Amino acid sequence: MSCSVITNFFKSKATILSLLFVLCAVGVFAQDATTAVVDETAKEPVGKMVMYYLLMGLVGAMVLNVIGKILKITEITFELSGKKNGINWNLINAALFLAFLIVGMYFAFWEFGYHGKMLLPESASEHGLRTDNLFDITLWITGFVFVVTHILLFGYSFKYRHNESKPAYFYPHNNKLEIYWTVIPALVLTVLVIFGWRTWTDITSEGRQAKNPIEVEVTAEQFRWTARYAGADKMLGEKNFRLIGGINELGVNFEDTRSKDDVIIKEIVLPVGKPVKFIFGAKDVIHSAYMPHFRLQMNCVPGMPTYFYFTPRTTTAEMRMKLDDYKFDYVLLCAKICGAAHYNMQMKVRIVSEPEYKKWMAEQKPFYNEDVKAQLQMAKAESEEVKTVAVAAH
Amino acid sequence: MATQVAHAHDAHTHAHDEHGHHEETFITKYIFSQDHKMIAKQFLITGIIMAFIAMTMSVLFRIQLAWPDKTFPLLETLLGKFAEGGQIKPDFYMSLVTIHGTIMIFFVLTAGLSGTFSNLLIPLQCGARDMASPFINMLSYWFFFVASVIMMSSFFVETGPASGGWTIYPPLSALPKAMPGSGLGMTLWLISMSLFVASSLMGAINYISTVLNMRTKGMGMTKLPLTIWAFFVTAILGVLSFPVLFSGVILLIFDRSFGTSFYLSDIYIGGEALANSGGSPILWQHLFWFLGHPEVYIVLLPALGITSEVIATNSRKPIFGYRAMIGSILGIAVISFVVWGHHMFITGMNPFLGSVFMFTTLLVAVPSAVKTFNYLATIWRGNIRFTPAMLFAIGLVSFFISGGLTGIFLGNASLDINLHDTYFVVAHFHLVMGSAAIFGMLCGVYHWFPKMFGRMMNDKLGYLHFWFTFIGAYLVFFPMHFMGLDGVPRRYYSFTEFAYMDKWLTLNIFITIAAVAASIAQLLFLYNFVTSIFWGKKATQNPWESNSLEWTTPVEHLHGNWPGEIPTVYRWPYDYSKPGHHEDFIPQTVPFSETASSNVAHDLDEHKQNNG
Repeated sequence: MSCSVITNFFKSKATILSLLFVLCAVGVFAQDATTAVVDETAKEPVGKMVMYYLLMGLVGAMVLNVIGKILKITEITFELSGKKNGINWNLINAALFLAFLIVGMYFAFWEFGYHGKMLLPESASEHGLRTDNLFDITLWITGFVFVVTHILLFGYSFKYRHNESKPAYFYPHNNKLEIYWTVIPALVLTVLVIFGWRTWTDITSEGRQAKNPIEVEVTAEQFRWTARYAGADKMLGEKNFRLIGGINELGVNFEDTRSKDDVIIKEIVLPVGKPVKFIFGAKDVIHSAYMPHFRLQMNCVPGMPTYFYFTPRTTTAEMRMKLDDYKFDYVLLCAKICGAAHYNMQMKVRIVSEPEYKKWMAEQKPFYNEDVKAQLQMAKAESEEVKTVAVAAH
Repeated sequence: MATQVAHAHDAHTHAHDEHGHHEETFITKYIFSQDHKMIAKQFLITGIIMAFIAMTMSVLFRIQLAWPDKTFPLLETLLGKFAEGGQIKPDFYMSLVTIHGTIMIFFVLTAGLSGTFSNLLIPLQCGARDMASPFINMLSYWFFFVASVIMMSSFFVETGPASGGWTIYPPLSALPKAMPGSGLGMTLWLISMSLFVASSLMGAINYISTVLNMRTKGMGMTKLPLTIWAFFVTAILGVLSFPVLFSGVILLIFDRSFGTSFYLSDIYIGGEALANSGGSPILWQHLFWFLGHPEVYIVLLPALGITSEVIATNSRKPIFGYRAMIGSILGIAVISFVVWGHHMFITGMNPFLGSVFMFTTLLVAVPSAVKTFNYLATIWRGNIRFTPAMLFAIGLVSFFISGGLTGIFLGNASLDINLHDTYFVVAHFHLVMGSAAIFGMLCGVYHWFPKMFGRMMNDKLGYLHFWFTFIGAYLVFFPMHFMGLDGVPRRYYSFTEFAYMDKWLTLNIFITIAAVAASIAQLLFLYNFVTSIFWGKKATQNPWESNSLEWTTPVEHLHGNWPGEIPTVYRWPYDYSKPGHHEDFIPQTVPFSETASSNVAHDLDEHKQNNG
């Protein structure tokens, strides 16, 4: 009896389903039609699109409703035929967890193979090799824990699904186990902390840096970077944000003799293998100087200079060869939200051989020349004039 | 002492009830209600509405990320000049990201989660007639409601809502010249958050005093369900950390509106040098993250508490290591106050401080690991019933593991240099905090729906909802790790300007499709939730055969919770599948004298202690 109910039911549902398919098809054709007229009337299709998606949603909801009804009827017929539980949802969910474990793990590993190949190339800086190495160690440890705990979580979920005849095991606590899984993670983490701490101090601690690095000052502002090199005297002149204006973008104090030979440019060029000290600053809001290929990042904070020491180990040319990409360039980008064009705040970074660097440096002209001097003087005179006019008006 | 207080209160509410019943009008019952159960529902429904709003925002910015060059005329119809020409503007993109984060973290996962379940469960599971101060409890909801309205009202401001990221770092957030969102939108954000903090404090003070003073007879602190422990510790975290955010917000309001320089110094913007000097933008970060990090646990602990209860109930087993679980909650809470600096490794903070914060941060992984292993030990040799709540609980454990493990990378200062502010961070916190906490919340909704509304939710829709959401969340967030490892920064309006980011465009489309699918799946939940309130199957008194006290109250709500005297508690809430007992659960209200067949030596000690 129940059999015929089901077959009858399916027959009627099948007709409804086929109807739905027709509806879907109509929907698709309608879409084709709308795309055809898009060019002619730009405004109209919005409503049609919305209608189309609403219709799709409605169809989806109806399909779901039909499935729900089928399930309900099936359960009722099971009940009528005397079986206690209709569909064993507990088993289905348990099995889905097992399936999720297997498929999920497969895709996780697949992704390591696929997207894992699209990551940053080998670090182009010395310290980056160390952090990458630490990353790998951490990845192995956490990867192991990830796999094991998930096998246990989903495996147990499947294995210990509800079973009338097998009551749960009353097991409220075991202090020994608690101690194990407190101490073991603590030990593993201690190892990671020690590695991390040593790497971190080597990278950041001022006392551990090579003497006489090349100093490059990088200033961030909405939405660009400006670099300043020390020039022949190897000393950067002082600056003051109140001097910013007109041609003097950075507010360098040109009365300070150290600043007379400073070079101000819109790209960073550095020799390979030489220690570099970046001095970061910002004019308006916080930015973050991020050079992913060098595993280098430091915030640029208005009113507070920040530093980062590093040594590049791969020239741009070498990296181009390695990546087989002749348009490749190292970049400096902003990683701290700073406004509307945050996503496009870039500067080229060029790593060259030492002779090339020396040649490039020799070609650079100090920012402060006769022309700049005249302009600054003019601006100064103008502002003084404004002041006197203002005073007079008073 | 606790019992004495409870008794005194007992008598009081009884008296109150007798004359209170007659005056109940629509307004006092449904709007300005002082009944904790109604306030819980108010928090829940407001939280769900806010969650849907914030989710829609995420769909909007995901569309921009997936199809940066395409135009969608519909967007212009809906958003007007924020999406002129059918494309979301960069400023509005920032607003969406900012408000999405703010709403999800504060309005959904703090107020929506703690507000709902602390309110519902603390009196019910402790055995109290209501909160310590029902009036303050009511105020807590209404402050939250006003905060929500003000936050949303910023969408109707010409310069748009706040857009400096949910962390609103000054000077960006302090200077209207820096971005349009830092104008009136930011003012509204700050007002809204001030009210929110007030709401949260009023709630938290109530939770703490209720748990400490109003437990029923026999309910010692070590007989409390782990949910209550989690809510209790969460409330303490809130009381200690939210005022710090509040002070930070006040200083920011002063900097913005009254010309002070707490966070501002040496700034040249919009063609002029500002007069401010002597302030430090880093100060804000310290104040913000002093709340911000405990906030992560304010979000997460209630979720973990809820799942502890649900996993034990549905595995039909005692939670493994009850005391270790309490210990780990306390451990996490204490350590959470000394880790805030890990958000600031590369702000230029003294590197030595970085080392200290790295140590404390990795320390917090230990109690978290203990929790995970205890969950695994609880389901081991259980007799698991996969109710929708149980599915979400297991989902939470999975997210907690996946997201927690990536925290070990980020907590390591030297790895953080390259990972900071990249998509790796986005993936990390969306798994461990976002997905895990929202799963805890959904788990709680499915589990306590019968208690809240007296009806059952539809199981099958619940299963479907779970599987779509669980798979969807992994499809969205797991691949983001790889983008982060390729050095793609977060909060980027589009990936079109850098050659090395081009290759991720396909993945972005994939993630967006997964996100849209997972969002549509939430409609299943909404449908299930709304229809079940009115037409769901009538619930029985104890549908999950659970031990805790809330299931001894009648299905039909009444002000004061229990019709007669508040039941006395004799045992802990986890006597599931105790050998020798004829059922696989023994409610907390069953005295040991009635369960001679299953008592063990330990129970007798406890019994003696209680009577002596």
